[in-house]
Amino acid sequence: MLISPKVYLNYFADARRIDSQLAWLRNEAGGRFGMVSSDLPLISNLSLKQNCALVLQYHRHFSTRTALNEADSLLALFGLSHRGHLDCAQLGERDIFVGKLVRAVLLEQAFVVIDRPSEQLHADCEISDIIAMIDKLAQYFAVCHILEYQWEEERYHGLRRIR
Amino acid sequence: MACNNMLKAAIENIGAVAIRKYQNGKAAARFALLCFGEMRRPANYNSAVRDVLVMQVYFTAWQILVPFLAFSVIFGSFVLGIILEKIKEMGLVNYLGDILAGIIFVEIAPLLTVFLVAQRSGSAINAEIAVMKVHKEIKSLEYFGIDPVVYLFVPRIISIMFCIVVFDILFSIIIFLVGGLFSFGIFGLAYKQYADIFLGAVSLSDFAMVFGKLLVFGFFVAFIPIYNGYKITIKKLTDIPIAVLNGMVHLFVAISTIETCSLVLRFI
Repeated sequence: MLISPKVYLNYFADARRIDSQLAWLRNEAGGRFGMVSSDLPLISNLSLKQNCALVLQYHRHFSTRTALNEADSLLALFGLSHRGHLDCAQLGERDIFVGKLVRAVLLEQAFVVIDRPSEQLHADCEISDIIAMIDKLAQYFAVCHILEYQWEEERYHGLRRIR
Repeated sequence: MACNNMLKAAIENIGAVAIRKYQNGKAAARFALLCFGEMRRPANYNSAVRDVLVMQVYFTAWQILVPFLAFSVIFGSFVLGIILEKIKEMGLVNYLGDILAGIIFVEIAPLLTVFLVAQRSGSAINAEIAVMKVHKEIKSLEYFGIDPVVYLFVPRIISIMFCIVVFDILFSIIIFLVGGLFSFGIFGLAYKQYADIFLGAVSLSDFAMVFGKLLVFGFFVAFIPIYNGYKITIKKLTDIPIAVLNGMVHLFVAISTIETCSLVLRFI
């Protein structure tokens, strides 16, 4: 499987090292920092689509309708357009992950950081699925870092960077 | 000796509580100033903030409009009926306007409106913010550069202030209309006579006082629940009911204090 040149895979020995790397990346990225993490949930009183549109409305001053349409078009890439009106309690693990990913890439010149994807998607999800999701959104972000535990490295076996 | 030690410990405890209360009050005042400062910035009102504002008005005002109107008519009929009967019994017909305007319009209508909104929306906002804090949703917003004060708190404060003013106006109109009916039934006053008596008793300063009081009430009815929900530090679900309870107690103390201050101001 090929991996976009904008995507970096980083493996760490323990949670403490990942946390310090996250802090460093956050500091580096500034306002472009879009993190996908189990520690940063979607807002529960907003729908999936509204969660994604929020950054466009707040930071880029899009109107509600334009922001929702933009979010909808990205969710459609994952076949989630029809589920965009649902709130978090009605969504599955994969839908929530996609929502968080779309929310992150919608920042301007997004510096996306995916924190331990293996911990966010437990059931029926291969790492290759996550990479495929990131690839679909590659044109929208500036760079993407995936932070993972060392012992999960085997699951990423076979990934190659596109030259 | 033992008695001295006990006395010393008691004084130290009182001092510690006083210092803690003072520091809490200072932190709350600083946070209130922060919210007030953000409310005054037009640049903050992007479409996301406006959406929250509209939704809050929908939850606070629109959803309970019919029950509120029904309550106003029923309550207004009972209270006015009793008051007007007593006025007639005591021969205080000359003071009809002063009693209706001074008690019902300036004091009872704002207080009832505030208690109603505080009970319904104050508790809901308190629980909502506390849940968002415990579930790390506020942290999530902060990581994405979305200021919770601007996005969550300011629109809620403004919409509660707006709803309290609107509800008070509606309540006052209903009381005025019901009062007209009762005045006709009890005193045989024509509607025009009643309106002249009522409006003659209300001065511009009364309007200003009521409006100012409603805005202050509105600010605190939203701010105190928000602050109590937001300041939760221990991340567990059992803290949420405690935060709501504390918030509501503080809110009722604040409402009583504001009402007392307004009464003192009015009669100085």
